[in-house]
This record gives sequence, structure tokens and C-alpha cells, in this order.
Amino acid sequence: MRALTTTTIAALALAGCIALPQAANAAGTDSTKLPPNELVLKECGACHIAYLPRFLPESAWTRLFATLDNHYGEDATMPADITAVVRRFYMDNAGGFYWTSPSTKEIPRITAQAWWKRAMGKVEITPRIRSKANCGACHTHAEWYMGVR
Amino acid sequence: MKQVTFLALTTCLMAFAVSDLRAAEANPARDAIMAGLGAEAKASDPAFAGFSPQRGQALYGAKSTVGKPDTPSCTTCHTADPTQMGQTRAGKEIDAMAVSKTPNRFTDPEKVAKWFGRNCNSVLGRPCTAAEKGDFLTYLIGR
Repeated sequence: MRALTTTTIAALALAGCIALPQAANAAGTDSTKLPPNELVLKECGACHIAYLPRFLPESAWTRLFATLDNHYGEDATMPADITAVVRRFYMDNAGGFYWTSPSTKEIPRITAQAWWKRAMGKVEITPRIRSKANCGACHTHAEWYMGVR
Repeated sequence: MKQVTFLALTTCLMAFAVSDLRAAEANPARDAIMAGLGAEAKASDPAFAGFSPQRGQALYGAKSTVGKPDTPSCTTCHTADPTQMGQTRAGKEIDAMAVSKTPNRFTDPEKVAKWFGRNCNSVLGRPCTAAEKGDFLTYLIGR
């Protein structure tokens, strides 16, 4: 009985060690199971900080999600089911009517908004920061507002 | 009982050590991705004779004039040395592409398909062939 228990516990421990990392890995691959804010952080946040939906009005997000194949100079397309969830998150939480709507010729830019220019227009973009899009270079907690970091 | 706990803990630690060693050498998920690309390459070209890290390295460093102008090369974001951290154009850090630096690289088929899909279009202006993908991964697995 003693031997049996020892073997069983050893086997269970071994199974636990092997099963746990694999389970964690499997969960990480299926984006469709994530809640919308975590999906946004994973998908949008891979290249830039996950900008808050209220940074742009609905009209701008509409255009942005229709042009993901040329997203500020890069292909940022996602599978249709994932795009739908991300798009819905941005449309539902978009900024107010008082934001500047981009003209039909230009691509929407947060940095073209009057409030952005007023607050950030004079910040010098050093090589470390690289881009006006890199809010996270200074605002290290920027993504915490998305609710999971 | 103490002995039993000790045995369980030791087994657990040993299992971790073994799985760690295996991860550093070969990874079943990565092998499956490579096998899939190999089969695809063979299907589209019967003369296909295996992947080449040299061709992969050339592709990694090549400058393209056909794709999107802001991303002429893989090196635009991933830097010329794949063992270094990269940076996206919007400033976020990218883990090194070399498997020696980022051991879980190329083990998630969804992720691999997604980024080849996007970046081949951005850099080359067209989808990559299975042979190109396999060469590229072979190069980075060896780095």
C-alpha cells in the first residue's frame, strides 16, 4: 500500500508538471477565447500601445478598420472573427462628436486631434522614442487603462 | 510521508529539467510547422531539395522596392542582427527572432501564419512561398 501510494503521488506530480505548461500554452494560442480588452491588447498591442477607443471618433475607427491592409504603412489584417471583436470594442467606446473627424482623403491620426497637439505637440521625438505613436515611451502605464495591465 | 513529499517534489523538478532541455533542442510544435512547410514546398516544386539557412539569411536582409515603402526589409523592424531585440515603427520592442534568444519562437502555427501573412505583404508586396518561409525559419532556428 505504501509503495502504491508513493508511485501514485510521483505519477500524479509528473503528470501535473507536464500537463500544466501545455495547458497554458494551448490557452495562449486561441485569441477568440479572450475577453475583448485582452484581445485588443494582444492584437493591437503587438506593434503599438493599445490606444484607447476614446482617442478617436467613430467615423475615424470606421475608416481605420476598413483599411487594415495598409495600416499606417503596414499590413495589419487579422482573421475576420478577431477583427469583428476588436472593431466592436472600438466602435462601442469611441470618442465623442467633439473630436475632429478626419477628411475622407487622410487616414485618421490621433496626433492630428486638437487635444493631442495641445498636450503633446511640443514634445521632441528623440531616437529612443522613435515615433509620435510611441506614447508608452514616457507614459509607461498607458495600457493600464485597458483594464488588464 | 516526508519521503513521499520529497519524492513527488524531486520527480517534479526532474520533469521540469528534462522538458527544459528538450525545449532548447527540438520542439514538436516547431517541427510540425517545418514539416508542413516542407510538404507544401515539395508539392509546389517536385525538385525541392530542402530548406537553406543561406537563402533564409539572404531573404532576411534583402531590400525590397516592391512592398510598402516604410518597410523595405525584415531588418527595418527586426534589426540586421536577429539575436538583438527589434523595435516596431511605433516604438514597441520585439523579442529577438533568433530561437537561441527567444526559445518559444515559431512554435505557435497561428502566430507564424499571421505574421508571414502580414509581413510578406508589407515587405515584399506579395505572399511568401512555402520554400521562402522554410528557408527563413531554418536560418533563425540556427541563430
